[in-house]
This record gives sequence, C-alpha cells and structure tokens, in this order.
Amino acid sequence: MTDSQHYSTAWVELRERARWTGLELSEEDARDLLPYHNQHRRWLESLRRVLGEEEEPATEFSAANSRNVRK
Amino acid sequence: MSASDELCYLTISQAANLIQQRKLSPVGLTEAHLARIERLDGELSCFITVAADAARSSARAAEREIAGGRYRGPLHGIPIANKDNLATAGLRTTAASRVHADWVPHRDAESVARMRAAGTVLLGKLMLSEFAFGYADPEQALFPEARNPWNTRHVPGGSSSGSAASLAAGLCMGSLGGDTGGSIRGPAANCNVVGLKPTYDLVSRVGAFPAAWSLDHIGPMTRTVRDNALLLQALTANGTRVDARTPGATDYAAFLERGAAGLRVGVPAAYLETLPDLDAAVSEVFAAALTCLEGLGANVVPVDIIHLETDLVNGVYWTILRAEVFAAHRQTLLARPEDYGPLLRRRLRLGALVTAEEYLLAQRGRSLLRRGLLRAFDQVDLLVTPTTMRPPRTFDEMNRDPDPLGSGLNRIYNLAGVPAISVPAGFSRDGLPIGVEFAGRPFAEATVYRLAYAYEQANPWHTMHPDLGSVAMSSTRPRPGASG
Repeated sequence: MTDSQHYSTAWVELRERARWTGLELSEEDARDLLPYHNQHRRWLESLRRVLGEEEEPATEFSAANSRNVRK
Repeated sequence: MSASDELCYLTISQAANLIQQRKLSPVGLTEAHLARIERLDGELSCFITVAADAARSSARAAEREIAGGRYRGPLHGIPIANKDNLATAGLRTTAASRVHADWVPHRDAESVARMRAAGTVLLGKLMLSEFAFGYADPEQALFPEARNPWNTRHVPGGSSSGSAASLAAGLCMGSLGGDTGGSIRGPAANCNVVGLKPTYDLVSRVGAFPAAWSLDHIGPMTRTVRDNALLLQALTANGTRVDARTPGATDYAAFLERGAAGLRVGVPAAYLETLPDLDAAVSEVFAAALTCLEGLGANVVPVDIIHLETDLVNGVYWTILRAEVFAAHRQTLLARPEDYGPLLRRRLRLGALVTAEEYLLAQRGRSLLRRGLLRAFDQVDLLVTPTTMRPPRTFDEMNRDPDPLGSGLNRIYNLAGVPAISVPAGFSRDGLPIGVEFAGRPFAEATVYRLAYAYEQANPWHTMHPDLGSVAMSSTRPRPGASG
C-alpha cells in the first residue's frame, strides 16, 4: 500500500470515528492525527493483552465469546 | 534584597505570627507583593490578571478585623494568587484561552471561596497552559508564557506554571493549582517549591474549569510543607460539598513534627530502572534523597507495583484524558475551533476518536493499575519517586517537541486518586531545581506531610530563592552552596 493509499484508508476510519461526535475531519487533519492515533491503537492492543491475561480467563462468558469469534 | 523584598520571602507561618502579634500589617505585606509583581512580572509573566485594587481592599479589611480582635487564623491577611481556571466572582477568569478571554464569573469556585473565608488576600490570577491541558502552547499567544525564575530560558512546567513560578519569585505566599497528570507537582519540582495533589475530591472541584473530570485535582502550592498543610486545612474545613464520604477538617500541621522514624517508604526500583530517559542529575538527587530518608530513620525498601509500566499507564491515561477533555470542550470546539491553539486543538480532536469501548477498556485498565498501587500500600506507608524525569526544559526544547508523552511517574497517582506531594530536593549542576515526590494511601495526607516535612527540614533546599536582582537576566542561579 502506498503512503497515499494508507492515508486515504486511515482518513476514512478517522472521519467515521469523529463523525459521531459532530466533528468534521479533513484529510489534512487526518494526516496530523494519524501518528498519535496509531500510537493510541498500539497502547490499547497492549492493554487488551494485559486485561486478557488478568481477567478474561476467569470468566466462562468471555471464553465462549472467544470460541464464537473463531467460528 | 530590600526589606520589602524580604517580606515577600517570609513563609506563611512566619508572616502569620507577625500579623497575629500586630507586628506586620496585611496592607504593608500586600503592597510589598504588588510592588514586586510590578517590578518583576513583566519579565516572568506569572500573572494573567493582577487585582491590585481588590487586593488592597481585602488587605485593609483584614487589618481592620485583626485590629478589632477578630483574627481568623494563620491565613488571615496573607497574599495569595490562584490559577486562572478557578472562577473568581467579579474577576476575569480566562483559563488562558481565547474562548473565555473576557469571562467574568458571578460566583467563586469553592476552593477560592474557602481561601477568602480564611481571610487571604487575592493578588490576582495566574498563568497556565491553555485550558490546563499540558504544556503551554508555543503558538498560543494570547498571554505570554510564564518563565522559570531560576532561569528564564527554561519553562516552569505545566500546567500550573504561574502558580509555581510566582511562589519561587516571591510574588505571592501561596497559590492554588490544578493537577490532572502532574500539573501541580511538575511545576513545583521545576521551581523549587512544594505542591500537593490531594486525594481525589478532598478539595472541591466546583467552579474549576474541568480538564478531565475523573483525573482533575485542585491543590495547594507553597514554599514550605508547613504552609502547604495550612492551606489544605483551610481548603478542607468542614469537609467538602463534593463528596459526603470525605473526612472533615484535619489539623494537618499537627502531624508535621512526628518525624520519619518508623515509616516504611517504598521505592518502585524495578519500574525506575525501566525509564531510560531518567536524567542523571535527577537520579543523583533521588539517590541522595533516599540516603537522607534512611538517615531520618525511615525504613526505605524496594517495592513492586504490579502492572506499573510506562506504556500501560500511558495507554490508560491518555485514552481517559483525551475522551474526557473532548467531552468538556465539544461544544466550543465545534463552534469555535479557530479559538483553540493548534496543540490543544489536535489533542481535543484525538479525544473525538476514542470510542466508548476504548474508554471502558481504559477504565478497566485503570482499576487494574489502582489495585496494583493499593496492594503496594499493604507493604509500605508511602512511596517515593523522582517528581520529574529531568530538570525543566528550555523554551527552545519545548518548541521543538511541545507534546512529550512523559512517563507514568505522576499519572499513576491521578489514575488512582491518591495524595502525592513534590518537595524541593536539590539542583542540577547548572542550577535548575529538582523535586522528589511522596505518595500515600487515599486520605493519608497527614502521613504524606509528615514525611515531606521531615525530609524538608533535613535539607536546605526550601530556604533557597532565585537571584532576581536583574530583571533583564537571561539566566539566574541558586545562591552559593546549592548544588547536586
């Protein structure tokens, strides 16, 4: 994927997220926000992992969730 | 230093004794501060608004009351100033923003009202970063940025920049600040003053413009620990309106003389070793602080805080912060985006991208971090860490990187809502202040003060003031003897 395609795809995602709040993002806004948003995403992935290790195995419900996602 | 300037560096406790004995006039003390502000603040830019006439009127009223035998207590007639995101009736409250550049509230913030009720004299409103959200925005030019009195090429730190710098410069005797992720403690460390972030909601947030509801704390800033305890006592008199569960008034000053002997003080050594950006001067000062605490009889031990790692704290902290700050600003951001500085505008827009699922994920992470921190307090009475990763940056450094992520050092205490204080701990070799931070269990402010006071009294740092003899200075240095 080229940089241009990457930003176009990302712009759509960021625009969709912001739209629910009433905020209109231009493509230029998306370029400005994307590095920060990507870092945010990495942090949350790490947080999901930690929470998964700490809390998820303890619940039958979440284990069932995981199985159903795989199906 | 002239006699008038020396008055401005009295501690509140010293001034209060003199006022009570009628050896010092609140009017004279206020005039000395107003004259010093007039002389120095053009360079330091600590104040957004100086309320000279109102201050003189309050000082005269205090003097009349005291002469009439109606002495209210140790803050009566004491000149203070407040961060400009705390509402003041009849006095412009801007939050250093274009959005509220001309707002004059009808009512005082609860914290401001309590300071008035204690008899303080309000000198004016202090500089902060725009809406108290991080460091001052280099492109936000509505008000000049506050400068660090120890070296005006350096920042005082954010967001309570004016609250810390004004104390260091002798422009007020106490101030109120706000702390969402270190905004009281960082500037306090950078300016060689004392700053307390109390337990969440111990001090009312009513009338304080919110940065992030679940992380915001209002707290006292002073030049000594004893003075800080006096301010907190006034701020918490008769409990708070916010939360009926909070305890009522505590005589915090009564705990100060109990000493450090026997206190178990934990050092999160494993976490500190993971911080590659911890400055050598900060490490050196911190090591000296630990030696000092052991010398005072504290039992200093390494302690593990489960899950405390920078990426995890940052992920939880920034997700909650961005979402809450966006929520606080949504209406005005959508209507008047051009009235926000570019740095804050970006931060707010990032908040618009946080989904409800992500916010809740972060809140679950916050519970995990809080549990880990409280578990550490099963083993120790207090935790000790450096307040900041490095001495204050220069304005040039800040302009190159205005949006540093920082470590989790301070933020874990905001996420957990526990009390934490920064006290002066020494200087870098080029004369820049460095602080050390003590944190305790929820509502353990008295114990936090107890250790902070013992440490403060064993060291000379709180007695040192910047040399501001030349207003046109480009660099000031601590007085002889202040080093490492």
